[in-house]
Amino acid sequence: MSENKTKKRGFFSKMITDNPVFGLYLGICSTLAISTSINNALGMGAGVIFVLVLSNVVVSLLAPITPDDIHIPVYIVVIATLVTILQMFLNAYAVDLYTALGAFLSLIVVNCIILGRAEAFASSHNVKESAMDGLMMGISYTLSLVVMSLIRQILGTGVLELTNPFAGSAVIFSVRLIPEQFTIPMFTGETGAFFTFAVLAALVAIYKNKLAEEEAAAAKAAKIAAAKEKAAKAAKAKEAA
Amino acid sequence: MKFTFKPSPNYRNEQSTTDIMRILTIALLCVLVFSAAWYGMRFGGAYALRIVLMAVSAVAAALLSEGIYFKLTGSKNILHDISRSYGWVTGIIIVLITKIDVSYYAIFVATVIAVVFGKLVFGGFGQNIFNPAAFGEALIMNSFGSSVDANVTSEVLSGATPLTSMATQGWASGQSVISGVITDFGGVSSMLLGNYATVIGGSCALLLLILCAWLIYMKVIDARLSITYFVTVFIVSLITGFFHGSGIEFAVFNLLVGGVLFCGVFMITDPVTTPVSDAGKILFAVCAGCLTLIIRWKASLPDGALYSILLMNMFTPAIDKLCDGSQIKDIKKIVRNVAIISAVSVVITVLVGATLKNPSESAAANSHETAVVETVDIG
Repeated sequence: MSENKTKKRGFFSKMITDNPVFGLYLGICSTLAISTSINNALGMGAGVIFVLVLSNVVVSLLAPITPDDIHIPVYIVVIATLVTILQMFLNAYAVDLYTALGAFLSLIVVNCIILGRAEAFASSHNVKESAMDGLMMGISYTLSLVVMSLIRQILGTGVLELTNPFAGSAVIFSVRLIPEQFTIPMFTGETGAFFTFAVLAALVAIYKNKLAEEEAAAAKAAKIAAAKEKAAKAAKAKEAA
Repeated sequence: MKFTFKPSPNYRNEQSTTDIMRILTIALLCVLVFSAAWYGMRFGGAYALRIVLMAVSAVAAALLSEGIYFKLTGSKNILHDISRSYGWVTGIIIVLITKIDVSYYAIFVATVIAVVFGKLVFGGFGQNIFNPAAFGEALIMNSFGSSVDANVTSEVLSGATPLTSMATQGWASGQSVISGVITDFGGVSSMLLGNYATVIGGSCALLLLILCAWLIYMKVIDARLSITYFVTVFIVSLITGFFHGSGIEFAVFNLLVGGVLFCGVFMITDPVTTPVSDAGKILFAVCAGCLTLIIRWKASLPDGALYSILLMNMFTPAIDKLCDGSQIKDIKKIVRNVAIISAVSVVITVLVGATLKNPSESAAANSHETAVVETVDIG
């Protein structure tokens, strides 16, 4: 019943309420640390989508033949392999991005989103569903990173800049939105990360509350309508009698 | 058996929060007007105007952000809510503890963030954990270090303040250096009158002491907080001074310069973010005084008063819990706990002070160590 209802809501609405970062509070550590610039956000997001989709696929394939006692080590080995592949690939072709992401690239192994989805979703669903779930979760993780890094980069440095990590950080575009003397440098640091995160999480919570209220109101209206119908039927039956 | 019958304290107390805040605002305006007059006479009218405009931008930021917040949260009577939120006090305090070269924009943004994130999101006036003004000033110090007016810096703040001058020469330098620094800034009388440029509201010690006495007399601030804080700073630095051969001047210097007096009168006395019980207040003030001195002597920060208050705000719930219980039956236990913790923090601070090294000495020690390492390498 509730599954149907969530499916009825739009794609974006679902992306907001089921957002792994601001809705489920998963993978916050890397979000706070990485979201300093939109480049890092996109790079990290792409990496997480890659690892998440493939790990979900592999885990859903392995799940039927994995003994229950050792399923977590098995998942960790799968995820760690994928992360190592990603790390080597970035180190070879996008060194700037590799250095910018630093330890957080290897920390994707212990990112709660990936292990959480493997454990909660992929191990009990088929390959196609798992891949879709990985893609959705990865995209909404990337979206939250991008939103956060947009706010932090624009307020903190005043410049919106996108570079191509595969071509020696060639600048694709760079716009100054806020004059230098009106920037708030705090937003590029940890303090700004926590402020931005708190505000965005609060907004998501407000949106969730509103949806819940609407749902409750709709359910109440349906109940009243049903009761009225029943009463009308009863009255008709009486009349007939 | 003796029974006493009294109405409970909140009914006995005739003052309302609004009265207290009105008197506090008057006291803050006194400091503001005095500072504006002093900067105006010393450096020209443009600087007096600058202080007034800084205050205007801070107060406007506080009132605007509160108005928008109350509008968004669906308040029924916005003006009433603003007048009960006392945001302007935060604004004026932020101006008084910044230096004069901070840009209007920095003041505006810091006040907005202090009022919204430091106070309103916690539930408004009376619910905040941290002192909102200290919160805003910490933001300015951390984030707007480069957002200064270069003209103002070169004209007014070109020289060192007493604190920076003392820090570069070393706090452990003894009698001659401390006397030298005091003479450089015009002697103890000049320190009392505030005849040097430092944070806007912090220079005139005499005015702050008079206001402190008046506010204590009017029962606006609690003597247990301010006076304990001053006494702690004075006594601990006096004892420390003996270890380095500097006399009472060291203690007077530590009390008068920097933000100790201003923070002791206007910031540490915030009833919202300090413990409720009397014993708790004394413990809070002693620990804040010790932290102020440790941060001032050991860290590279210009002044520790602000951070000591912010750090102690964090411990307020713990202190309240420590002093919890029947104030008649458990008083012995509470007093013992408070005395032990106060004594420990004072002893730690004195030890820190006694083992202080001067910059030149520590550099010499470092070079000596490297020399030893080199010989080992060669050997």
